Amino acid sequence: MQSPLSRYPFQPLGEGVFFFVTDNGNYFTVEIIRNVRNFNDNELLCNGGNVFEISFNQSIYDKKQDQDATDTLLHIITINILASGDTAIFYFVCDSSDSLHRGAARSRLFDLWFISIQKFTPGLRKYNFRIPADEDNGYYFVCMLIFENHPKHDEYIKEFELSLHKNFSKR
Amino acid sequence: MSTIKTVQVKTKNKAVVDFIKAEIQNKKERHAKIVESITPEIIQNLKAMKKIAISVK
Repeated sequence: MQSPLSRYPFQPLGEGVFFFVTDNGNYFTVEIIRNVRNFNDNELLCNGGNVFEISFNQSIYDKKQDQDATDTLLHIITINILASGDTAIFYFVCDSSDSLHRGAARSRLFDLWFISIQKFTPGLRKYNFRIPADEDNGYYFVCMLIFENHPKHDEYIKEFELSLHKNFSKR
Repeated sequence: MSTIKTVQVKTKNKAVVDFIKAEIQNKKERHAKIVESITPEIIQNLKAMKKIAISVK
């Protein structure tokens, strides 16, 4: 599967799971999976089951940026957002397992990527929830993508924020 | 209307932080499993597709 925006061909491996390999042998895995298990106790946050978690990983941490890999990643994310419709909601937990500082940097990078995605999805809005960490003075970041014309846009953002104050998960 | 907004969560909540840490760990494990499922054929096919794409440009 390839398009003018997708610099590397990618392989769907299952529903919402994609894989591509770069010229330098870096393996990229991308997941855009329906995930409401964290919101089971809250009908509004479940959004009728139309909530997707975006995540990705690479096998080699390479400081040199591979723009073709970024373009491919953004292409996969964008086509999935477009295919899911205006009432879908997407969230992304920024990885900060190496450091909170790097987690914050990833959130800023995702802001830049969002501007590229938004060229194809002009009604999409991004919310960055900054959550105080239990150590240091840093923050964790959970990002949400929601269309401005979602019928419950304002309610959803408020409820999501409230859930972060109370208890995000009551599993 | 700004298209990117930051919402500051003011309350420190251990349950939320623990949840986020668990999510990050789960995510890493899921992606590791995906990589384990990649066969040499998939890699070869993708590389062949890239060559074809380059040749038709």
